[in-house]
Amino acid sequence: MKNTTLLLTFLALALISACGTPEVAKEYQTKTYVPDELQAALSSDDPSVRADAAAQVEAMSVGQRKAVMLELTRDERPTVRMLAVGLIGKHLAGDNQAVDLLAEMLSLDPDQDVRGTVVAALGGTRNGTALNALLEALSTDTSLAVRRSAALALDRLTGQSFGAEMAARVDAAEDAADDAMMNYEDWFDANQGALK
Amino acid sequence: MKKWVFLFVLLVAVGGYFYVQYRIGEARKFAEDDVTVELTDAGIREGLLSSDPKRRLDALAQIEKLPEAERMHALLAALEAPSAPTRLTAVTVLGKEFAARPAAVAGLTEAAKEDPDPDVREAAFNALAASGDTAILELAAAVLLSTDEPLGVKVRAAALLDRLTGKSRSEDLRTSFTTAEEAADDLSMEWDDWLGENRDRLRWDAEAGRFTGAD
Repeated sequence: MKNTTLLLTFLALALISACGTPEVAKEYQTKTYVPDELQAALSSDDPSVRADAAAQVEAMSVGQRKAVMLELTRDERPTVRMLAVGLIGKHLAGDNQAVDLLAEMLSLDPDQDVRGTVVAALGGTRNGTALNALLEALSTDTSLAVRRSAALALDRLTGQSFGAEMAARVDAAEDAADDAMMNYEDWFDANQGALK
Repeated sequence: MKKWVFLFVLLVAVGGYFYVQYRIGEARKFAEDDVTVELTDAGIREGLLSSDPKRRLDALAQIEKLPEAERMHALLAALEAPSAPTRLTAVTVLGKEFAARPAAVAGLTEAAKEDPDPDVREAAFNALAASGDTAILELAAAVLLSTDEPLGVKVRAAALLDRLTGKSRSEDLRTSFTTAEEAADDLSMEWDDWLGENRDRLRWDAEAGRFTGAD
């Protein structure tokens, strides 16, 4: 009798918890953990205000800090997302959920600077997922600068040195962009009044 | 025993109820996301000011129903929307319909220079290039000068400058960009092979601060 009771109770609780989990997950996705003032400070133009705000996040309890950092990665402002990614790299490098989120950001974030910060954060993790995410970025990212950073992060994480030649070619292309820009600056200066 | 069976059935029923409610909620959300409602003029005006990105986007998609002057004003206002898809739609429609108007050129120039989303910036840039306004020359030069723009965007800006001015000053850039992209493609294949061969052997070595165990 006792065993049957225990078994039935266990089954019932398991069923209810299985039904309830998605709701909890959804709430986690939509709940706001970041007060408006903190959000404003994190995106301030003043670096010292941003640094103070980041320090506030770092001073939070571990659970609250994680929730805040993960929420900030969904902020509309690239500067806030970069800051969040930097904090995740510093405090959650061994957290599987955070690494999965960084991997997702690397393939989806529209801003190349944010993706560059994600590459740096993934380069500091000890998780095999990071290697796959970095290879994906090296293969498909639309920004050569991000691909270059991903190649160098892969080298660093594995002790290989495959990326040096590619990095040199990207540097050469960037130099060529600077040269083209100077060519055009000179040309504009000489022809500005004459253009129609 | 009967009491426990009854309790179990009750708990299953309660669990089932919540599960069904959850599924209904998901289905509703999916339906809301997918269906575009036919809007009246007032609905479009209201939708354009909504804080819900989907409502704004729906309203923008039907903006042709509004009178021309109001339409351009609303599109210019939508360039300030927080969601990138809304701004991208606004830029695209502005470029198609109003690229000859100075106010639209000013808005597109601002978007091409300042929008935080590279797709929006590039769409605005392309809209201006099609407009024939001389602002595009300065803008293309600014793109080349920028430290924020991806190299690919700079290459397209340089190619546009070459085309608009009849000069060929960016050949080196195009060649070195293509070479760098090819090097990146080759490297990604090399890494793909390497990881395929070594992934199972890799272990984190705390002392070395990297993965070790590869051949």
